[in-house]
Amino acid sequence: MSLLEINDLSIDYKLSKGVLRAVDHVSLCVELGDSVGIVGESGCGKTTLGLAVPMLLPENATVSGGSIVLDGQQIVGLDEAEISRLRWTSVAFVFQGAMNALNPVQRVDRQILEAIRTHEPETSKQDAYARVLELFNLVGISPSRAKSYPHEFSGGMRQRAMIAMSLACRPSLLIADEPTTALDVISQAQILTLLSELRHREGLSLIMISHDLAAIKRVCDRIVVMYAGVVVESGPTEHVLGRGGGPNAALHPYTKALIRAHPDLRGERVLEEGLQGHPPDLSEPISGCRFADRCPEVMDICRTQTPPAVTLSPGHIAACHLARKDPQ
Amino acid sequence: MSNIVNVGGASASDERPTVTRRPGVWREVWRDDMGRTGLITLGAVLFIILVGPIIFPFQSQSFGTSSASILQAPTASHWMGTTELGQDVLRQFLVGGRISLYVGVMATLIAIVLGAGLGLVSGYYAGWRDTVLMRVTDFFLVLPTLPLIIVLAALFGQSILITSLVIGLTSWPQTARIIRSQVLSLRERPLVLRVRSLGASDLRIMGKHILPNVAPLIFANLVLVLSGSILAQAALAFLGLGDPVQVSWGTMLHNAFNSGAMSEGAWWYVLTPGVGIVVMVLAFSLVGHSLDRVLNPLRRGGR
Amino acid sequence: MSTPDVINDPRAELVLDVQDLVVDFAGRGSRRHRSTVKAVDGVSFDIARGEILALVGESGCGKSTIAMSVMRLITPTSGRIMSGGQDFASLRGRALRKARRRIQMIFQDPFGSLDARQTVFDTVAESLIIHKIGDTTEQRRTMVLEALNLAHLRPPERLAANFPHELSGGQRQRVAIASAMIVGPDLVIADEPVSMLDVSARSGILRLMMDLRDRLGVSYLFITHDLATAWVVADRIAVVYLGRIVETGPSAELVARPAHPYTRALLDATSDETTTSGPDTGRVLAGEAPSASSVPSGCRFHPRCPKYAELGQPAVCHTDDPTLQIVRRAAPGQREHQAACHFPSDEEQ
Repeated sequence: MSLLEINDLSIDYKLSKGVLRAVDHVSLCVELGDSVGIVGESGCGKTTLGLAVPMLLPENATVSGGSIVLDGQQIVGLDEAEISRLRWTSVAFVFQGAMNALNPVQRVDRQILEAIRTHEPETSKQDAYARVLELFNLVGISPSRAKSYPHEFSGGMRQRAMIAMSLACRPSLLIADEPTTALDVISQAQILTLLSELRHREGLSLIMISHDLAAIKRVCDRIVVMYAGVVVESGPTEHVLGRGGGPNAALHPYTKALIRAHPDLRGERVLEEGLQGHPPDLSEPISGCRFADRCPEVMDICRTQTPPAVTLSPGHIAACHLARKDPQ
Repeated sequence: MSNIVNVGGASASDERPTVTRRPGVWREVWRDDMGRTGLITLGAVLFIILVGPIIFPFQSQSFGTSSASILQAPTASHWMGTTELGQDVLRQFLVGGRISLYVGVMATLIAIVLGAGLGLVSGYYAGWRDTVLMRVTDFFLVLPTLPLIIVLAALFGQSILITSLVIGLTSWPQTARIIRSQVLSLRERPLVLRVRSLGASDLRIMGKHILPNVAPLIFANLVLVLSGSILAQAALAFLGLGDPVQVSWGTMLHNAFNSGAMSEGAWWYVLTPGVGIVVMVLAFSLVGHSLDRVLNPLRRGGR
Repeated sequence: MSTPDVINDPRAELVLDVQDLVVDFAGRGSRRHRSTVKAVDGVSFDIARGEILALVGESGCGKSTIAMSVMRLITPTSGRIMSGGQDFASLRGRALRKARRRIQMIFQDPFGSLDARQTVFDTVAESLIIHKIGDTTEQRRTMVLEALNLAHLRPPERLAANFPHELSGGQRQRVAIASAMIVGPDLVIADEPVSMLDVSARSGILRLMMDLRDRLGVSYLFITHDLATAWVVADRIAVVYLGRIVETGPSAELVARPAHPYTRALLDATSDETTTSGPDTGRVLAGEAPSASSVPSGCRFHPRCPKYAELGQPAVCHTDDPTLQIVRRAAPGQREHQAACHFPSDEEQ
């Protein structure tokens, strides 16, 4: 049984001008010990998808279809009391810009202590504090800095503190939304190393949401590429982002565009062609492939028929009409 | 935990053009319960005091002819009764409203021009100019209204001009601070940096880029200062410091108390101007607060 | 899109020559014990006509402060900023405003750069009005439309009527570029011009910048924290650490043979290592950059320097502040590769 199984999930936002479908029939599977990267640009739905698992969606969002099964339990339809028991204990979420969410007037160790005792009230103060120190150790913050205030920490350290807090109740799954944005290059590398270590040493399952392909390549085994609310490609990172050809390479033109947009210091020193235009308005009905307007390899069929998901090789799927052209 | 997600691409790294325009400010104020109540009330009040005196003109020459016509309770001929001089309360009320409003507007104009102007210059230049101007502001902030008007009234006589001046001079610091604070943050925006780096003069930047962007805030503040000024004027007039000739609502209250209306039980004389003051001030205040809520840049974040 | 030959000539005309730029800020604390934050501590560099120089470093290293000082949006504490025969640093008032035509700037936030109340046309036309370019309204209109066209905002007539909120991030940045280019500057300072744009939109803007360099001969000072982008776009890179340039050289050369350990660390952090097979080895630099109010003694990088540790903490690193030295002889037609390090590296990356 998978740790997390998202099946045909659709999420709508109610806006003053109508309804916007931010996530459209998305399916995703995370096994125990997996690390999955969800990549896409603004408006693709990746954050909405991530927020749906611990049911932290804003008030105007509704799950309009599909299911989320975490650890064998159906999440959609649970009431607040039930889902709050699962949050932080089964699945933890590190928000975008979380490092700025620390209470500036409280010491960092106290904040983590509070988090532990809120969710596990039977824990004694000593045990809880021991766990705080254990967590600091886990994320690489020296215990001498434990009694500091958030403003005395650098951005990278605050992000570590947030990760520590999210792991306080030993969740099996950690969802991190843009954990390295707004950090320095070196701090980014440190956080990615940390996430990688947490996976291997603690057996933590991870979903990392990011627009940065390089970050996902470093940490995630599998990658899911989203565009305008749908999954356009998914598969093992080695394949999708690797340099091999044939079925073991990115197929979807959007994935290829994303890859081109990240210059590779080992490769040729040339500025690649980007994409013109912008993603479609999701409150309007869309016919055919959502990427058709911007696709460099667009065909006639793309504008009329929604491309189905095609398996290119075990675990590697692409939703593109080009996939059917290639004999598999 | 809700309202954290940027929907509709309203984030800074947005690629999709945001097609929805912010609806007209007044429409939003209308949608706000508080704002709507204020606008309706304001409309009614303004209508009454602007149109009223035309329909029911006040004859300042006609005094009561007999002792029976003094402090008379409401009758068919005097809907809101009579004053201690036998004059029609209603008609005096309608005319008095204009005076109250007039003083309020004058005082507000003085306050806004001084306050916004100073706030703009202070916030834009920052540095030593800001420090000096802020000390000046502090001085006027602590200036006590009452002694000031007594001194000026003693020197120059009581008139609506003096009243307007005093209220204006003691109200502008509040505006100055609000505007300065907004300007301080605007001047750091890339827009101002870009136009500075283009070589635009300070005057151009202040006038063309900063002022239009603080104008909504100035306007919201203006309405609030107006409501405060009307109240201040009423209070000063009540204390007998207003213009004795041009009878405002505050003056009516002053006269009412002086003639012992309360002890006589002449409730119509006290209630009419009193309710008038409360309703007018409340109306402006509701609209002003609603505008402030709608225009407050801090609230722009959420979507 | 090749580098024009003229910039490889060391005697080529310089559009910018910064000498010993120092920018101090008053730090915290009372008057007597106030620390000075040396945001920029003696930086010198130059840019030839048609050249793109990238300043690369992490946030707080001073690269943005350098840009703002050159733009005279901040007043430098000392140093010379030579451009067009004048010392930009000492100009004031009207003379400064006139000289500003030569150096323009593009900012990180495309939406924040534009006045939400002005149309695209008015925004770009404002540049002309400020510098009194163009004699008639018709003439100005033509120039504005031409500038929009040059910035790939097509069709220019339609886009000229739009407001900023009706445009995408990439389009907004193009408007900013058009309003800068229309005055015909010699140098454009681009401060993180694409970091707030979607990844797929970035190359469009970068290509535009390079295209304008090729067509108009305008030079760029490109500020970024992304070494990979700097490598692709810039002719030369200068690596900034804690207010100093620690390494500078032609992009390809610097990335292939980084001499300073900090540059190496940046490259390692940026590289595309797939580490999914096991835990990462300790190649990532530890610790945080110290604050500019307490700069380490000697070489400012020594507390974090892997080489310092490797070589057994040589005394010279914590006593002597290294200056930029030539690391490799310049190849014909190229600028030298310099690094400020007592033990510069010689190997291939």
